[in-house]
Amino acid sequence: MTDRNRRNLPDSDFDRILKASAADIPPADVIRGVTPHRTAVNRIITGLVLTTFTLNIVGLNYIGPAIGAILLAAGFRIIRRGNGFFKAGYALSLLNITLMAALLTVNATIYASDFNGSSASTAYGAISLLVKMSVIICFWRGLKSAGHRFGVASASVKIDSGALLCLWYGVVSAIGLVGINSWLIIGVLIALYVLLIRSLLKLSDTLEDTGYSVTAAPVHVSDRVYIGVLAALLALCVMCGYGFSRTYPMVWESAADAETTRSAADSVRSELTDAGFPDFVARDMTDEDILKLEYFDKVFTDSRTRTVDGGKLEITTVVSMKSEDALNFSVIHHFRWVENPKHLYTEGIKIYPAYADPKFGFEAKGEISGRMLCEIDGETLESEYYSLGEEILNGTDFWGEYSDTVIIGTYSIPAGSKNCRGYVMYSAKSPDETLSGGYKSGFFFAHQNSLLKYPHETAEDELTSSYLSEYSCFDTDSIFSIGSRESMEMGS
Amino acid sequence: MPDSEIIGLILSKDEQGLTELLNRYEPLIRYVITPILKNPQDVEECLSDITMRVWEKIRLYDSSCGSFKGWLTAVSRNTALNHAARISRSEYREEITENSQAEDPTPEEEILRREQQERLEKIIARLMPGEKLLFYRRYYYMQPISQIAAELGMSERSVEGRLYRLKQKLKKQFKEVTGDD
Repeated sequence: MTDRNRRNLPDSDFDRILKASAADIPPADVIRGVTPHRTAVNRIITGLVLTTFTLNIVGLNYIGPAIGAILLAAGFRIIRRGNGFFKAGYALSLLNITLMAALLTVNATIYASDFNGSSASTAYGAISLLVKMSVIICFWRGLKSAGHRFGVASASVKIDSGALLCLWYGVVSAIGLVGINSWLIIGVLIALYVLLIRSLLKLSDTLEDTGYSVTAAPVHVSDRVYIGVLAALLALCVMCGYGFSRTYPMVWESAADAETTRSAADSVRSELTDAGFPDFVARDMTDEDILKLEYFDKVFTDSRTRTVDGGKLEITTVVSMKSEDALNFSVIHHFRWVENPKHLYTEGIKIYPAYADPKFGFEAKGEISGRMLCEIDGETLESEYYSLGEEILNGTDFWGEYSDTVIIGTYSIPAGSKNCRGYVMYSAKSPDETLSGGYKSGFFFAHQNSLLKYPHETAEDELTSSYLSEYSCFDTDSIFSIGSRESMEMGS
Repeated sequence: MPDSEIIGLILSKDEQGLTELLNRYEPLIRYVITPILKNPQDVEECLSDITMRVWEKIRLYDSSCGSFKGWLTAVSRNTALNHAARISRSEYREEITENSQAEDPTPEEEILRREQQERLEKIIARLMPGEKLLFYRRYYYMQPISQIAAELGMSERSVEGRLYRLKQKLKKQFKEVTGDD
C-alpha cells in the first residue's frame, strides 16, 4: 500500500483492517461485557436489593425503592421477549412502579400521616409485597426457562437466591404481622440480609452461561430516555402531591351570609365589652358562643405578639366568669395574623385546657367550639377549622410516660387573605366548691414554613408529636395563661 | 461442572466432556456464531464443527493466555468465519477465483498491513471500556446493529451514531500514529 493510498484509506479498507485488528482471543473485560443479559440481570438484581432492603435515613427508604423500581422495569424491558416469565416480570415491574408512584404521591400530600398506619397502608403493603414476590418468581422461573430452551441441564441453573428471597419476604411479613420485636430475631434477620446480599451478588455470575440464551428485545426509546422518563414521572408525582395538597382544604364562606337575627347576642357582646372583654375577640365569636357567656361579668385578658416567619401573630387569652361563681369559667384562646407569614402551608394550635391538669381539679364543661375568619378583597369570610377537637396524646419523654388531654385545631391561611384569625373556646367547672380557683391554660402553635420534609409533615403531625421543636419545617412557640379569681397573666 | 474438569475429560477423550461442554457453553457458542451464520442449518452444522474442533484442538488451549471461555469464543468465531467463507466460496467460486488473484497482496503490502494492524491493536486496547465493547461487538462478534441496539438498550440510530464516531476516532488516531496529516 502506497503513502497516497494510506492517506486516502477508503472506509471498506479501514473496516477490513479493523476486523483484522481485534485480538484473536478477546480481552477478559470484553468476554465479560459482551452478553445479551448482563445489563438486564444486574439491573434486576440491583433493583431487587434496593426495593427489598431500605435504610430509613435521609429519605433513602423512598429514594432507594424508587430507583429499584425503575431499575427492575429497565432490566425486564431488555429481556421481556425472552420468555413468558420475563414478559410477566416486565408487566409486574411496571405495576410496581405504578404502586410506587401512588405511594410517593400520597406521601407528598397532607394526608401522608393519615395514610401511613391506616388499613389502606396495610393493604398497600400487602399488594406491594405480592407484586415484588411475583417479580422475583418471574425472574427466577424466567431464567430457568431460558436455560431449558437449549436443553441446558437444570443443575447448571441453580438459582436458589430467588426462592430464598421469597422465603425471606414471607418471614419478614409474618414477623411484621405478629409484631415480634426481639433482638434475637432482628439479629437473625440482619444475618439473613447479609447472606442474601452476598447470594444476590453471586447470582449474576451463576447465570453467566445460561444468560447467552436470552434474546434482548429491540427498543424504540433508548434506556437513558426510558429511565429518565420514569424518574421524571415519579418526581412529577411527588411535585403534584406537594403542589395540589400543601394546605388544608377549607370551605370559606361570606361571614355576612351566616349572620342571623343577633339582637340578643349583640346585647351580650355589649355587656361583655363593657366588662373588659376585648371587642375584636367578641366580634369574631359566633352568636352561639357569645350567648354562652351571658351574665359573665368578670373578664381577665392578656395579649402577646410573636414574630413568626416574617409575619406577626397576636395571641390573646380571655377568661370570663360570673362574679358569684368563680368555679365555672370559660376560656377563649384567640389568635390573629396581623401580618401574614411568608409561607402559607399548614397551621395548627394546641391548647392544654385548664381541666387537663388534675392538680387544679377542674372538669370539662360543654362543647369545644371556635371558628376561623379572614378578609379577602375587603370581604369577611368564615370557615370551620380543618379539624378541631380533643385528643389524648400518649408518649414518653425525659420524665417518663405521659398522657395529655389537649385540644388541637388545624387550619390554613387562604392565599391572598388578610387578617386571618380564629379562636377556640372551652368551659371548665370545679366539682369541689371549696377549690381555690387557680387554673392554667396553655396555648401552643405550629406554623409550617417549608415543604422540605418527606413524607409531608403537617402542623397537626408536629403538634401531635412527642415534643414541640423549633426545627426544619415548623415555627413553634407556646404561651401559658395562669390565673385565679382575681387575675390572669400570660407567660412563656 | 468447572472448566478444568470439562477440559480434563476432553483431554482424556471422554465423550462426557463434550456433553458437559455443550450443557454449559452451547448458549455462548450459539450467541457467537449466530450473527456470522444467518442460516439456522448452517448454525447447526457449525456447532458440530466447533465441537469437533474443541475435541481435536483442546491441547492447544493454554490457560496462561486467557480463560477457557475466551478460547472457546475465539474457536467458535473462527470456525463460523471459516464456515461462512466456505459457503461463500461454494456459491461464488468462479467470481472469487477471478477476483482473488487480482487482490492477492504483495509481500510488501502484507508487511505494511501487519504493521497497521499492530498499531490499531494498540489504539483499540486504549479505548474507553464502553467504546471497546462496542468495537468488539461490531468488528469481532460481527453483531448486526439491531442486536447491539437491543442488548445495549439503545436505538439503532444511536448505535450507528456511536459506531460512526468511534470509527472516526480510530481513523484519526490511526492517521496520527502512521504520521499522516
